Amino acid sequence: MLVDLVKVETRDRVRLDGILGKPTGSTKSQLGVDIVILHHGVTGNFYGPGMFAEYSDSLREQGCAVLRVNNRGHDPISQVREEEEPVRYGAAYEIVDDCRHDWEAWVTFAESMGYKRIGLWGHSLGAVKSIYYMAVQPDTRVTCVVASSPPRFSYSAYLAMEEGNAFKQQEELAQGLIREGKPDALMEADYPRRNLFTAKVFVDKYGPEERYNVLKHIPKVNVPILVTIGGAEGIVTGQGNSKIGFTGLANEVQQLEEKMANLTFQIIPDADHSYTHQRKYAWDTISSWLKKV
Amino acid sequence: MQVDLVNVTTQDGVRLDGIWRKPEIENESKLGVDVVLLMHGVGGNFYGAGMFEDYSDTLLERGCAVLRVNNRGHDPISRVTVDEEPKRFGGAYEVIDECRADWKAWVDFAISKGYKQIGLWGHSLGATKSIYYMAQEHDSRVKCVVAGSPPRFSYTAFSKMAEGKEFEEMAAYTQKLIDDGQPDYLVDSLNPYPVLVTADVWVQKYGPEEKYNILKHIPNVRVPLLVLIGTQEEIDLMTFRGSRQEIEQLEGELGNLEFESIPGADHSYTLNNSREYVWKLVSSWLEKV
Repeated sequence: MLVDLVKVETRDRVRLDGILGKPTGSTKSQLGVDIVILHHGVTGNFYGPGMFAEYSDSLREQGCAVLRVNNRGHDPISQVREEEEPVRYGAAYEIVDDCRHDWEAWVTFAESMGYKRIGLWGHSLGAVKSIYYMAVQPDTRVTCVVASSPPRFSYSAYLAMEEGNAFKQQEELAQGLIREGKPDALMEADYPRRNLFTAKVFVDKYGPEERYNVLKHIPKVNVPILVTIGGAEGIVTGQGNSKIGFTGLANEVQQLEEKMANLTFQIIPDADHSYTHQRKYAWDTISSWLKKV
Repeated sequence: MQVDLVNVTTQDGVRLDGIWRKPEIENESKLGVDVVLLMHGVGGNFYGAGMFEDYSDTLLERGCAVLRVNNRGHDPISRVTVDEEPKRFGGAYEVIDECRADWKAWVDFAISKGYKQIGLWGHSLGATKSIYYMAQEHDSRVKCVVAGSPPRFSYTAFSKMAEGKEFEEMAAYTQKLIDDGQPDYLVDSLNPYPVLVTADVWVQKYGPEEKYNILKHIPNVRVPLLVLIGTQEEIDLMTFRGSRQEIEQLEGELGNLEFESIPGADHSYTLNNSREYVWKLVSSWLEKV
């Protein structure tokens, strides 16, 4: 697949890489945007297999350019050189709030390439971050946001679930490590989904502050936003599914939809977290929304 | 920079990604190879900043295609789905011996694209693995190997260095973790090289077996081999201290081995215009190969 290998440097000097794919035909974009920035989820990256590999092709066939990019949460642990010193990032080390720099840098890149109608499409944690970015730092250069399966990071909701005790034990372990002066100690978490995190990152993401709870941030997004959730999410665990990250979330987003004119919510029937076996349905839903935006 | 984003699947089911770049005019390489496979070191990847970003361009300028690719040791920790199950790889989890499957898959890819004169150029652990692959597999499709700063993994040599006590303590600690049934426990090791690895990987790499000691493997490489080591990295890093003399000795015994010391160069060849110096050495060697 011929693409341009591109890179940006964020305002806090993190180099991020990605690929720019131009439309395959010569027609104008058939969508309401002329470029979509695809943001991977936790531990993902700009080149791995998965839905964004497929949707990149679909977008280009619609005359829309694609920027599929890394954010600093790429891969379980990644490494960047800052002032000649290696610094660890990746899912285990990233502070979600810092994603603002990453999103801003890529939008600036798209703008510098002459694109005027810029869409964001994030999956999983990439969807949470897209919502967070547009809520905390409303970017007028962005036309719309597609948030595919953003998990809800809600301490209070997790505690109320049957897995609440197991989750609480992990949170206490993380808090204990921080109290002992070991915020960067790595821990294997099983809830809300299996992952490797530092204690500091675990508490920042899943702790009582609920700093990144999408239900708090969706109402602050000012542009058209489409949220999709798989019908099987919140029901089973495994294969990337986070049961406690999605249990009850669809109902709550649906309630928000009734109050917000710019929010559209769609269930992807029977879909798991990666929309396996339902990619076409998801694409039809999202592309028809992007045509009207 | 336009690239072809490509991928292979190894015979044990690991998907690896990379980029393939072709020169403007094909089939007119001014070097003795028509494609070079660039293999990153521990925790690296096919797109990161560094010397291979520079050398990709200079190889293309000489009419030579470039495959800059991931191996399973990419990034400190990476994740791949194998047989529907997510598995951890990356610098922390890779078993070096398995690099044979990665190297083979990429050479297969180059062959499938019509290249006949294939060169390998590895840096750091990518250099050690290139030597190991060619020593173990004797891949007759590969014409030559450039090994840029391959670390020497020698338990005996490390134990005798000034940091030997700390090194042996780390060896005992990681072995105890394995004995206690925790081979996958992650350790932030400082000696012999700062890296995050599981206890099991640490022992395999740096333990008394010395399975990946390049001094054992270089004599088994049958194709022309160029080894480079920077004089500054000999001072900075345990994994290079003393290895120059031993490789020089091998050079005297092996007709296919050429060794070059890079004056003032650190491990990334950033000091003292080392990148340019290295390129001149490598390109003139590749011209003659």
